[in-house]
Amino acid sequence: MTVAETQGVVWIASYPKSGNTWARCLIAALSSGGADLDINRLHDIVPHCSSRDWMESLMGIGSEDLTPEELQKARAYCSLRATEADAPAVKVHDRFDRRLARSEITRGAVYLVRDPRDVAPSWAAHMAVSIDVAIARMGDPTMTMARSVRYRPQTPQRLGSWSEHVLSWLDEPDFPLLVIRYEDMIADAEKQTRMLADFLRLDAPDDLVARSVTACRFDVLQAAEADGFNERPAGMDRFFRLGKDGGWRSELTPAQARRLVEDHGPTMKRLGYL
Amino acid sequence: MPDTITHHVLCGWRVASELPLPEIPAWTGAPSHPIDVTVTAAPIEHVEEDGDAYLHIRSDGSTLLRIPGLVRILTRNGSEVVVDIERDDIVESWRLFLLGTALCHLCFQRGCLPLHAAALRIGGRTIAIAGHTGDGKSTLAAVLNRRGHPLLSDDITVVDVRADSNMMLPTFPRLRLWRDTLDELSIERGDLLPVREGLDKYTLDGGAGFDPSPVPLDAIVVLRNAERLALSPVTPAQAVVLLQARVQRRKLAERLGRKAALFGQVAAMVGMVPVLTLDRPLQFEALDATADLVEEAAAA
Repeated sequence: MTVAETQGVVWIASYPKSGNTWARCLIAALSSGGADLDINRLHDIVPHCSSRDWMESLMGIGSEDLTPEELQKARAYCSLRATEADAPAVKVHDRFDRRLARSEITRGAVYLVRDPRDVAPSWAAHMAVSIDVAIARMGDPTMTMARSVRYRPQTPQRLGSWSEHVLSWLDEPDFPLLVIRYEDMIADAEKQTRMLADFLRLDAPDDLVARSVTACRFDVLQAAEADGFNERPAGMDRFFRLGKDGGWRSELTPAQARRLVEDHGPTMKRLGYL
Repeated sequence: MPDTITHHVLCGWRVASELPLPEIPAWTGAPSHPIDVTVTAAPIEHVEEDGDAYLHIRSDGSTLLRIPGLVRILTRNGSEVVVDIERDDIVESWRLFLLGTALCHLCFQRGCLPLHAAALRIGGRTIAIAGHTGDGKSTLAAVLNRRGHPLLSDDITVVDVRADSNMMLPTFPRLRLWRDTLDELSIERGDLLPVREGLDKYTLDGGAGFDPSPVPLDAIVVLRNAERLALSPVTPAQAVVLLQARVQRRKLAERLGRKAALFGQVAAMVGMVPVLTLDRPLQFEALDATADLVEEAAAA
């Protein structure tokens, strides 16, 4: 087995608002024996590879003068260093990028995907924009978060359109991939958490899986968030919003739902959303 | 050293360099003044212990900074800098790292304090504007510079803390501004060079009135994001906490064994220099009023 297969990074990848934080909560709970979850320490357990503070502490130098190309290499380097220091996984929102999720350093990736009609209202609330703007951004192939026309605490992250994001992760990697649908997490959290634990090679007896699922129930996470959550964007009321599937039926107008199907129909079909 | 060496003044130090340093003013002091820092171009051998990709601290306290594919910079004894350029580009962007991170390393080795701050001469007084990356130091410095206040440094303000004085050691008068800042300030990008190819950040010459001589530091203003504008003096105890967190590359200083020394320097400095917080909204519309408050702090 290569070093990547034994000690490489496991990426927790997703388009925003597709269950990434939920998965990180589950991994944190699984790694701490199902003990009470501190949602404000998630980054210490499953770091987000676009955080400049995190990168700079691992590199020992500043990141503001690195080019986009160098930043991707540096993020890969830091993700490997974090994994060597026992991080069970690393969070990423970028579309698949070979410079970041390099095969030589990667053990595998968990890709979380959610019906884009449920992503849209949640993503709109996260960005504090209208649902129509969120839908337009989900169809924009140039969409990049934290684009570098000025300094931001996160590195730029190229998302591409929602379909491009999904297809890039499903089709381009040449390492093991576990795809988890948000809707399946809701329908059978224990089963999906078991798959997650096995993929991450975490030692997780059934009672630990059950305890972790309970610790990460939406009402529990919402109650924890009431005491503060350091990953909630400024100006956003609630990070853990609804935690359900099919909410789009009441949150989207028929025209909005139609537009998403027009933009992403083939990819939605592939994931079983149509 | 070969004949092509040029002599410069940086932080009041006489710097003799084999490599071009166009940002740094020429040395105009006594020809007999000893050389404080040499900058040489030479291959840097990779030794087994230099495992870390970006920064390695060798057992003798020298630091090896590496930007893979661009440059390696070895800083030793606070007086020797060796530069190994792996790839040169039109804007010679390797120099960003020499005059940024490596300069901090030099400061720690020489016992100076590199604050994360810009500094200007305002009405005959020397004011440092401290803040974290992204807090808008350079933007505010650009506005003040356009009001006619000479710029002494951007991003790294070096302080030589002594028993009875704090000398601010001017670096060089260049500002680095992101594109949206230039647009907001209506500065044409036409002739400006990007700091690096591929980065939307530009170098602006703030050279008018630059004086490279060390000068006592008169006040430090700490920028903070807030909803309302407010300039408030802080107690020395509060100032220590604020400024400790705004020492450039503080964690490196700790790795170099300078944690206690750094605390001592910051504590001594705030005993002599007034420190004020400047709370303001991080919005373009608030810039002029914010600059007014810095002028007010200078006049106090």
